[in-house]
Amino acid sequence: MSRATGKRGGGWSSARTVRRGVVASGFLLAGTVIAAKAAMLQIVQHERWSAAAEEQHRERVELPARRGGIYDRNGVALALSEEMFRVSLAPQELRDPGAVAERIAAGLGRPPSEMQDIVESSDRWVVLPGRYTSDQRREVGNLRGVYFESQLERFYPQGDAGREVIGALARDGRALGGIEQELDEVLRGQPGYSVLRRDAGGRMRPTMSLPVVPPTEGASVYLTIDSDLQEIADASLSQAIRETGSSGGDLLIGDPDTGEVLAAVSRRSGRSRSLAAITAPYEPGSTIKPFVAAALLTEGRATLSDSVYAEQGFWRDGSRAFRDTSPHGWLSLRSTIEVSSNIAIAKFAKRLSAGQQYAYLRDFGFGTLTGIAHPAESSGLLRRPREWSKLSSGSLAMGYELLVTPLQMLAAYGALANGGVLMEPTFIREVRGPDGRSLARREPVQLRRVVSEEVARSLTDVLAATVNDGTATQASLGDFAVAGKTGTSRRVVDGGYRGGGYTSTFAGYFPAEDPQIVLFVKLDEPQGEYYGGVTAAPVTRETLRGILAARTPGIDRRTLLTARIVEGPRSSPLTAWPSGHGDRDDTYVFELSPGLPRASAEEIPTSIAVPAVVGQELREAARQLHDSGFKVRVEGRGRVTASVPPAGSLLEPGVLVTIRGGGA
Amino acid sequence: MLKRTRHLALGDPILFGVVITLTGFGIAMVYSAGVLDVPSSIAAGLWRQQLLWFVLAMLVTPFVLRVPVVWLEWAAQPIYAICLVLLVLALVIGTGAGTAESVQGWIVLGPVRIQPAEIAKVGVILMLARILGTWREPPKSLWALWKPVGVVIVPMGLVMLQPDLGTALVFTSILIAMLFWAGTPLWTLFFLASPAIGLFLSISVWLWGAYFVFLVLLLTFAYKGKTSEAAAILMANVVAGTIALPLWNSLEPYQRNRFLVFLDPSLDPRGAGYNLIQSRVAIGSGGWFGKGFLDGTQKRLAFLPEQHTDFIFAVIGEEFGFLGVTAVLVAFGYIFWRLVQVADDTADPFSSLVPFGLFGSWFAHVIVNTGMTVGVMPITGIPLPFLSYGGSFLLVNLLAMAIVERIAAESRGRA
Repeated sequence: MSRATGKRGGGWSSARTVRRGVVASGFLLAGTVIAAKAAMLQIVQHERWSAAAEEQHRERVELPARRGGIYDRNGVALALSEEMFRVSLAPQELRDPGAVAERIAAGLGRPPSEMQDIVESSDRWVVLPGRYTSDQRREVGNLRGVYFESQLERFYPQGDAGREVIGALARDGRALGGIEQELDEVLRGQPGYSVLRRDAGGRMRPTMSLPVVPPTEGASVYLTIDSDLQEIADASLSQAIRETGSSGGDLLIGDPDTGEVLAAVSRRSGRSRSLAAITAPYEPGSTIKPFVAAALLTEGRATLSDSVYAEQGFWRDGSRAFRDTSPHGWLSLRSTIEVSSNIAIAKFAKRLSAGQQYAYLRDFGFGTLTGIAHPAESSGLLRRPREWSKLSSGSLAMGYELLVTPLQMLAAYGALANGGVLMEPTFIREVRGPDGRSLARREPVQLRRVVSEEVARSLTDVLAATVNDGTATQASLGDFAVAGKTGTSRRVVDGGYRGGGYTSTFAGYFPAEDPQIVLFVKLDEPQGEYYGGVTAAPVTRETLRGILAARTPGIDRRTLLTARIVEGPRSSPLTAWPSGHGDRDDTYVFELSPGLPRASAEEIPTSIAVPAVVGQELREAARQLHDSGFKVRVEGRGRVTASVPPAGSLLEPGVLVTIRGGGA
Repeated sequence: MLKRTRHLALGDPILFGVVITLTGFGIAMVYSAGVLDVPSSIAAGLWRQQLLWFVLAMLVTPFVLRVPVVWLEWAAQPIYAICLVLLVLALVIGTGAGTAESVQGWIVLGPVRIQPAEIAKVGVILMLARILGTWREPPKSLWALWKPVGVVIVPMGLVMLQPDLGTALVFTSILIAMLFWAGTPLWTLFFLASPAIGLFLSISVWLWGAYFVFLVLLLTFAYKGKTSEAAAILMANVVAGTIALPLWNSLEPYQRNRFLVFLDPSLDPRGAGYNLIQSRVAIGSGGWFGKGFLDGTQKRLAFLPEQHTDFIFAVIGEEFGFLGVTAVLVAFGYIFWRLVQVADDTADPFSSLVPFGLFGSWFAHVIVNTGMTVGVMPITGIPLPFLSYGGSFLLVNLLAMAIVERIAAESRGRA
């Protein structure tokens, strides 16, 4: 590289060596700075920038887990999570608005004129009202400008049946009350996630090489609830509340041998859906009396035939005045329960020490949580003897000065029904994994033996007689003996007794001989006749009638049919109820239901026509089918579109009829 | 004649080979810049146009190679005049293009869009070479520089009106480089540039004050020139210091942002800082060897802005890693070295000044572009020669390279 010297005079080119040096160092310096910076970015800080890049275009998207279903004891779905779709349109993006409008109108069942308006509108984005099923989505198909947004939604195939037990889900998926909340962890499942690649415009695209963890579906919970019984209980209670003008009420049906709750309904004014039968304690009144008798019998302080003088209806004991609704003379313990004499039971209670009286009430489960799966169970209130006043023994014997929940009452009567053992009440029967495998099965839990079988037996006799002859007659049921006791208590409002406000209750079980069902009914503030016999007891009768008519498989009808022995005299069938003796709460009679089983299995009608229910509300249709004696499965929602088998088919009672609604 | 032509065809075949290779690589990168996972990218398919311009350049090159350098020296004035006319035309009927929508830099001729500023660079280089080539000795005073400065100021002003600050910056670089090569002392160049430096330093009063005191001392004790010059230099610096703030305020917000964001990209990570951050993420995540041709994720997912023009170096960094970055820098380094060598080997001042002027122009392009891509320079939207998409830019650069080849051939032939 020889350096040339300028031909046109050397002046300006004489210092080229220096200038070349300056240039060379200049661009070497610049090049080095840039290369060094590149090395800094690409080698030293490579990890950091790689991470920054990943973070920019990787998006972790949660894949929601399908929540487990809630089923009744027979596998009837009560609450299910289904993938539903919200449908939106971008009218500007549509290729053929007319065709799209037609297709959506047909596929989603929207009015065609409305769809026509939407596709022709100048709006950028229109969200169609309502949610649609995946079938409907498929019918519409993938169209440009039509967007589907998937959501897992909870829906209730049996309508409102059992909702107070099930609880609810908030819009964001949080469990609100009931089984949903109590077993949330079981039901919820484990959400998965997928990693998507995101471009600068925020569009997502799945990539094969990126990890995907599928969600784990939640487990399903099988309740002890029988949806048929629940439906019947609901109907009976609602009717009773309507007819008696009550402000609310509770109805519980349980299995005395296992502690399983078969139906639980609570109704309060307003649209409250909480299970007040578990959460709201009340003063039980006379329904507590059998437990005082149980204590007396077990402790040997009295026999059923021991008598006390009932003071002809009015007795002053120190500062306290006791009144009976009707005057009695000498009453045996048996009669005390039958006629529900406050004076007599208070006198009998004096034979027990405070400790004994407290111990038996506590052992029957009062004042403690039953342990049922419910997030807001109340323990009620039972004071310890040292907190008692002089009057407490008498008050407690009549069912005051303590607060119990209907569920505690159900469990306690269940103990009398099953021969003296207090069972832990439960809503939950089984938990099954998404694959249907049983994860946990609840076996009946015996809490304790409270009284001997003998004592339980004799009290059952007394209670059966009560239904036939005593206060609870309205509950007796033709050929079946119902053992039970009514109660009427003044309502506590704001710490004081409210004038004229009463709670009317009935607790009982049937058949008395071999109890299969224990039942508790409570009506709050019934208008007019407020004694338990006139108000709560008939609900029981209606309910039992419904149960028998529905041929619920939960009830062993063979046993029922053979257990139709009824002791003692019984009123002959009359045509109207309530009839009888006015305001007294001891003897009432009622019309016998003509549809009741009377003798043997052979007499059961062999075939019934399926009623026409298409077009009715699913719930109403289910009730009608129940009344006709069928078992019902409900699919979908809304109104009945079809029944299988169809209306008019002659079927044996107890056969399953499936009714389908729209959707699903 | 034929023999002579063949002999004259390429004065520096290796340099030409490197340039052609770099251009081929550039077309491949423009293709890659169009391969995105995002639908309807503006860069998709542009490589075909780039290839077409390349083919056109290759077709014209033989003719350029046959043009004696003397003809160019004669033609310098008319070429320069045409360039000025084109620049004025661009201001009147010019349109924006692609990512520089707001700049009136393009003239549309049927299907062809040309950028007069790119042609003007070569025009200015020829004009400057003609003027500076007549110097018999280095200029004694600043006043002696009025002609070359005037030749550059006019087109530079027209380009700034477009407004395109980046290209205007390149004109400055051309002027300084060619004055320097023509023998202007460094001191003189420094004083010439001192108002501009003062303008820059005026972001801090203290900094500017210290600089001004330094300048006064320098002029008092070291400068041998005329007193009027010293006074003019100080005057210019005072004016620069005074107008700095109003000038700053008169800048478009995006221009101010670019500067501020260069100092701290996190000031505006979604706006002006976005390009800078994304460019660093793309390059940094490339690592040693890159993610592979076409496989740059930042590019594919459209995080990288202007990936086919101003930020094509970031695509190279992402897909070919530090290795690719270094290779490109080395290639440019070789081209620059050869340009200086050709300038050095030529006895004729005009023939020597032209390659050095081109060096000044391309050097500014490469340093500013790669510097901005890796984050050592503020963002000024100027492309990378031979690599960035841009038809007329590629054509002009390749033809300029053909001139260099002719110059090299002539000097070799005469040597």
